[in-house]
Amino acid sequence: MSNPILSINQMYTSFHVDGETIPAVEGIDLSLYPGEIVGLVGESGSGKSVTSLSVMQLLEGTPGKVTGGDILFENQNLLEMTDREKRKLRGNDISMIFQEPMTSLNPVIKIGKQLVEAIREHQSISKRGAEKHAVYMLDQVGIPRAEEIMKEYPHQLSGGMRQRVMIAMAMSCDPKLLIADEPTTALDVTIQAQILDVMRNMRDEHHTAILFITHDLGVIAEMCDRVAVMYAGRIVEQGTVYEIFENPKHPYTKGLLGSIPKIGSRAERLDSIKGQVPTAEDRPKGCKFANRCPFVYKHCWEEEPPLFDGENRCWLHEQKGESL
Amino acid sequence: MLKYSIKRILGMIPLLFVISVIAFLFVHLIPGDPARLIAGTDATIEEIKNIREKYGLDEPLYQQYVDYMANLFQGDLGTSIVSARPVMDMLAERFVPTLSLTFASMFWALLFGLLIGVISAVKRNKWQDHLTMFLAVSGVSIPSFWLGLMLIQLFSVQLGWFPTGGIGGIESYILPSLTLGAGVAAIIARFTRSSLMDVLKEDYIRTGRAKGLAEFKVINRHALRNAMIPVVTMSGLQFGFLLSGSIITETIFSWPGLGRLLINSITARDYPVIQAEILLFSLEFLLINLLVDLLYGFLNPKIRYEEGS
Amino acid sequence: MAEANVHMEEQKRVTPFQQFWSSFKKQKVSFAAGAFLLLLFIVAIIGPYIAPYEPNEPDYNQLLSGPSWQHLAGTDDFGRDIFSRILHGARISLAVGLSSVLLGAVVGTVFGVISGYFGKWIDSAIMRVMDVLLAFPGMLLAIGIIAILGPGLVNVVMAVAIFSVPVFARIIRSNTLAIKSTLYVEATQSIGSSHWRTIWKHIFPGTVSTLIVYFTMRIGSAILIAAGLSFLGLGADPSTPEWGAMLSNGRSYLNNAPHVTFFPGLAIFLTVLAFNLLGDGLRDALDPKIRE
Repeated sequence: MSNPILSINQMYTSFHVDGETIPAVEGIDLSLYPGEIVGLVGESGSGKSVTSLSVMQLLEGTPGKVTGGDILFENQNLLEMTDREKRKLRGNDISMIFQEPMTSLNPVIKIGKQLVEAIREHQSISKRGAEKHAVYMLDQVGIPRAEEIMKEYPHQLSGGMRQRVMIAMAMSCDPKLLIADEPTTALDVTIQAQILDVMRNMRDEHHTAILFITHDLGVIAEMCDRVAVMYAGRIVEQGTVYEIFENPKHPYTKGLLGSIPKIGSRAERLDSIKGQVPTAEDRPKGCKFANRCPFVYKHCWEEEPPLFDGENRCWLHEQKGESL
Repeated sequence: MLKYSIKRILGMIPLLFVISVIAFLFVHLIPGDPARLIAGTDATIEEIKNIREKYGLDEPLYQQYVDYMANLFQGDLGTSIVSARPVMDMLAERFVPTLSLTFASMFWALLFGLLIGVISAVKRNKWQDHLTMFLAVSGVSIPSFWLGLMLIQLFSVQLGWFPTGGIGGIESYILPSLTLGAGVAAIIARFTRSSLMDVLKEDYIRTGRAKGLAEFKVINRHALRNAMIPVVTMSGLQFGFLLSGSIITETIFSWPGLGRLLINSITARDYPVIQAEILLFSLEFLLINLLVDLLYGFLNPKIRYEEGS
Repeated sequence: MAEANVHMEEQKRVTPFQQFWSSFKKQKVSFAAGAFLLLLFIVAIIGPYIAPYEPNEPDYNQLLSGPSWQHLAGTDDFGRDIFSRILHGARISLAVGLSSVLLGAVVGTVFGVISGYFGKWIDSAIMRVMDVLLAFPGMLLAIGIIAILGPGLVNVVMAVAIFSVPVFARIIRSNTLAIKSTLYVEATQSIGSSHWRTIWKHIFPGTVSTLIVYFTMRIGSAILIAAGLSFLGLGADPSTPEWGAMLSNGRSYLNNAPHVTFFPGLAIFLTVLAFNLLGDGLRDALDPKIRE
């Protein structure tokens, strides 16, 4: 395979609230290769959305900050770039779609203008040319009567249509990396499937790498090439979709698989795993999953497991390694 | 939008009725005989009797109201006790000075209010925010009569830049409009700040940033317009407060407007003029509210395009 | 979310007053404003005893003289000591501000509680009247009322009270509605406790913190409007040491003795500013819901 388009190395992100520092992401490693769809899965509070915002450098204006590690995009460290350099990438080489299509478009600006703005921000192209390109993009994401939609306001479109517009906007500058943060969570089942189709087509045609963030393993199975499972600010297991689904190693992943909701279910709570994701303050000292793990033993409480074989963080697998 | 407008305009009718009744009843609310009040303290019994007949004060109340409204529609608001001139003429010649002063004040209020509000929202919790918000609290706390007199003392008496009062060229507008606009500027600043801070939390702002727009463009293109919808509505309503504030400002600056006329009439117990002023001020408020409502509908695409809303 | 719950539980162990106090102390500006007002209240009580001069004692050798060690804020057109008059005026301004807002708050609270608690036609009737009152700016409403009642300080109090009524009625109504819908009121009602008992025991205590915040904020504007009416000659008698009247009196001497207007105006400004700053601080400390 070629060089990774994105590689996150030992990234730490924390939030600074009322003089306290709350860690949200604690040392994750993740790489994406061109044309690859990688799923980032976890319960809410696991740090997956913070990871995406960290990569997009969209934490400004929030109390959050990337405090360690680096984020390499095409071998350039995003954390060392000036604001101007970062803006050149955002919306151009790296773009993002969000969970809430209903509120992610500006309600007082026409669809066309919002698309044209994204295009002209990064390309020297006439207004007429940008409009033409916008219509083409709307066509590509399967929006009927694209020319008319250009002149409409967001509230005149359904949620699914708005998410298509968001995808068209995100893809309009032919990005190398698309970050999709729960893009289908807020949508109906049938619409969900259509949006996933659109995204797959986009990948096939533009060879865009997609970081797909979701809590829904069903969607992962359908969409992704590889998966990283996040828990309490860490990646606890990663591998190809086949490996993870056929032979999950981490007890958390097993728990997730045991509770796969059907596609379209909006449940964020994964009932087969008892308890809740601990808050940053209440995380156990050793393995962060210790308080919910059915296989927990003494060592788990004492020391945090490292990443074994670059794949999973569970002491059970260290033992196996030894016994073999 | 048409439907919306018609609905708003029709909604005014009951209020118009209430206001006309209040204005009509005003003379009757004052303790004492209305005829005596209208005739003035040194009127003879004969004069009072004439007044009673002229104004139909011996007729039943509803008949008086009907007559009052009939006169009103013919543009007859009675005659001033003090100057013996038709009240209509007096109001007409004072309407424009007050209106122009109000607009000049709104210009300052919007200019400073929006500027300060945007700065403090963008620099949230930094020193710029603390400073501008302290200025804004000061703005609503400062007595306009004191501010006005201090401005006169500094810029007219000491520096001689502007006239101390009266209406004339542009220079005569500066001090009165600054005095009148200061409080409203402060209100607009606080409101702009909170409105803009709310909008900056919206998802579409994040979308704008995700497009790679510079923060300046995000605020200018995406945040301001949305933040301005409630601000415009609120600022429009402040016209009412400018009108009432003009009473004090006009007194300080000897401005020949409606506000000073009102105070003079109250002091001189010129009841027909007071009655007409109450009616006029109330109508102005209604009109402002209506215009603001329509403007709100125009600015908000959801209302502009949805039929039957 | 869980983290917020932990905080809530910790805070429950302290009394509500301690909780308010620790949060209020952090707001330095509001705290300073509160201290200033405390001082002002003391001045209002003992002002006449500490004032260096009689407020109405003329000194024809010292007409319109500027500030000096002898007369800290100078003298007015009768040679009266302005500083002493301001000390005396503190009592008038605070009395007018407090009594008018208190009156407005009491009447408004009664209307608000009745409106919110009984609902139906009583509610709509009261609220329509309040809407009409609220549609007019306070100053104009006050002037209209003065036009009917005639000038004078007592009538100013009445006028300012009347325009405060709808503000309190509205807030108390919505608070009453909110509290009414919570379970414990429904529970007491089903036990069969009387309306007034329910209102007094359950609804009123629940609205107190909101009441305090608005009360403080309204006093500032009440003082401002009362002084404005006196300035226009519709309020206090021109000879009384009321701040607005003093200021109005100084207008004629703006050219040669600006201190006659400056100091009374400064007193009004600082007092109103202090009430507004205190109100902001109290709001943030007492009512986190309306915090920005």
